[in-house]
Amino acid sequence: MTTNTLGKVAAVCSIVIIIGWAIYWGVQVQDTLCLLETATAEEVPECLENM
Amino acid sequence: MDIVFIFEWLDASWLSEFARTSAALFSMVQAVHILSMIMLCGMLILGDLRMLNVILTGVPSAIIIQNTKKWIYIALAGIILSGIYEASAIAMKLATNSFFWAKMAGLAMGIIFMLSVRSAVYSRAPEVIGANGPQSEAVEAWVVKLVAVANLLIWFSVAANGRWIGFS
Repeated sequence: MTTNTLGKVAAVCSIVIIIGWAIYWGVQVQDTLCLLETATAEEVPECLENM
Repeated sequence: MDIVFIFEWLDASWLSEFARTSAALFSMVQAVHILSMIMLCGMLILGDLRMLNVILTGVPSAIIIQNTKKWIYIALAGIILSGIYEASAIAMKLATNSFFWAKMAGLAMGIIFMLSVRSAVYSRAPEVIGANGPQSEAVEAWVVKLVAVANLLIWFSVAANGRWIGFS
């Protein structure tokens, strides 16, 4: 593999990983916040239906 | 593909029986698992932060990458072997645990990324990062830094999901 191709493949792989990581942890944090809200709320919060 | 039968087999194995009855040994293996994870992440962080020009900027990156390689493999072996032992004790619980699968996916991705992309890119790091002397063909510096960030994020996920298994 040429250095130029390697650079392009590495850049694409890294960007996909970084975006995927942000989406995954974004959902996890959202779910955690929802569970925290559920623990203190008197009624079932809306976010629980989307989990 | 249904792979629950692997967990059922592991759950019924002598290893599982042994892991459940030997609490002292289990805690020692758990310590080996955590220490191996620390060693692996430590070695990877060392190489990645060097490539990001954050630490040890006076040391050629090739020396750091070369010297950490052996310890990365030793740590990986420690993690996998102790992990199988630990998993055998709670195999059926892990089979349906989403954080366990997230950790396994991260581990597989981390190993593949490390052995293919990271290794290839770091060996062709430019002089400005690598301090390896002039290279006729080098990958651009921003690509090397992007690879370092991606690698750090993958292993962060492996460690965080591993910890999360304990809370779920």
